[in-house]
Amino acid sequence: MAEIDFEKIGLKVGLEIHQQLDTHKKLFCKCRPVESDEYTEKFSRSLRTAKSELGELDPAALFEKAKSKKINYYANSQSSCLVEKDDEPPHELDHDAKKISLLISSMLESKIFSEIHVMRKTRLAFKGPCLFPKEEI
Amino acid sequence: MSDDKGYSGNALDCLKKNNVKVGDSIKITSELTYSGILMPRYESGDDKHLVLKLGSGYNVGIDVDEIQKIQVVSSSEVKPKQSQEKKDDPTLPKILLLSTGGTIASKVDYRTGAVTPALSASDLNEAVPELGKIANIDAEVLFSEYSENLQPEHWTEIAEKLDSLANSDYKGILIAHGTDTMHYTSSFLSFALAGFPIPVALVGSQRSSDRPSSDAAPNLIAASKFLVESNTKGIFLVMHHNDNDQTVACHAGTRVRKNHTSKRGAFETIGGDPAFTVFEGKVTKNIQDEFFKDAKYNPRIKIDTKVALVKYHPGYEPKLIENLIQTGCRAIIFEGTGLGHVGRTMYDVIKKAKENDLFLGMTSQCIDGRVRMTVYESGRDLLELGITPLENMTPETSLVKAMWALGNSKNTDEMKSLMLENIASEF
Repeated sequence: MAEIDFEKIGLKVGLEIHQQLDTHKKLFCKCRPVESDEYTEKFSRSLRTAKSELGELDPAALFEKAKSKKINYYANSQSSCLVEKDDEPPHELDHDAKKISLLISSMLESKIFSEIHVMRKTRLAFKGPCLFPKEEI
Repeated sequence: MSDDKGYSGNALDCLKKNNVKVGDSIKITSELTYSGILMPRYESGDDKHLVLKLGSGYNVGIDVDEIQKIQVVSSSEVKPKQSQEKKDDPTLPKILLLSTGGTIASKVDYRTGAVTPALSASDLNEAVPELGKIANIDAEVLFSEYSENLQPEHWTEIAEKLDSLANSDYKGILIAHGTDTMHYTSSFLSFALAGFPIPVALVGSQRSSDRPSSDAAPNLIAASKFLVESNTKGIFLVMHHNDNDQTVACHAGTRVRKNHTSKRGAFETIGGDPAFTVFEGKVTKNIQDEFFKDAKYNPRIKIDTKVALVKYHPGYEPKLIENLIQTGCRAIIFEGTGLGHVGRTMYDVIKKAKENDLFLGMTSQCIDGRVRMTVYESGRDLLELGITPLENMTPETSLVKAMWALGNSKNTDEMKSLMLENIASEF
């Protein structure tokens, strides 16, 4: 197999680390971030495509829409509330989570933007219906 | 939004100096180099940052003081909106979609970060193409207001518009409306357009139409199905029945109330089931009675707003009622305690209100249930003082009915008689 000249093809590789933070509550609500296998609540949604601020539709969303799926969600009432269900606007960003993130970023010598923007996802992510990102830059 | 798209002071100076406009694809050089699209600024934002949408889709705020250079990679181009020619299916019935504003017709405003009314009725029609399979939908914008800004003048404007369509070939009429005061509007239309020959569905959403989990589309689709298939007359409010997208409730316009601030199933029929439900497109009738008690169309669109809704509570200051009398109030609807009571500290001022020929009606702050003023001594005292019990009519419906009845009667006796007549399933 021919050796690839990464510099020539302009390859850039990023590393994305996902780590659940040990905070007292979740990022956008007062629910405790507990782990549980009990999902006593059930609700269903038919998510649709939505345009971004730039007026564009996400191709992945269009693909999912074409499948016209009804999505059943199972929830634990201790660790999820109306915010998770997108039945209540998100609360203030958790202060501890923000503090820990900034601390880790500083330790990694990351460049920290001086202003954080919380955004709504326009992509259909079937992990949860609330469609608020769990991370900010 | 202003031409400056929310930017001011230092940030605006920086944009002007570099000849950069919102929407331009730019490269910012500061300590690092960032590429992205310049986004509008929130109205409450400071003048120290530019907002850049990175390729990842995330927005970031970049400190203006740290910027060394801005290069415009490409200018924003205005893409002309391609309007699709509407092709009607002659085999389908016709529905008119009137838009009045609210979350159902709104999107995020990047000036304030809040949702504002913006989408037009035809935008909605295009955004929910399923509607075109149910009916041929005509769309018209009446106004574009959040429902908290809607006043009785708006109710009469909607009523007059509907009245002009009483003999049209529409199978039904959809009214896109903000949810906060939707039940006030539905109540007024129910009285003002008693016997209206085609069904009317007020439809709203608790989540704006520009987000994937919006309830706007399921509500609009179900409301259209309901109008086409229910074979009924009346003013209905159509919203999610519960947490799920599959069931939508069609509530009688005079029996419904918003009982939650944010849930999509916020509206409930007080004291019973919704008149109809639409489950995965199937319309089911849950009540036997007709919505209008007299089938003959009898439009009475006048209104007089000199009515107050007074929620009695321990410590209520009776002088507040005196103020109402002095300011020319002609009717008071009390939201009393329990079966329909106010404390004896109120008796003197109630007597005074009666002497001034005000109509005084009693509802209950329990919301569900019937006022029954003959059970306790205080209730009997209030009856003696001339308060009219309003059965199980909700306080909000009673208020709107009182405004309507005051506007359509010559004297207090006539108004009382209208208040006690069951016109549109309000009892």
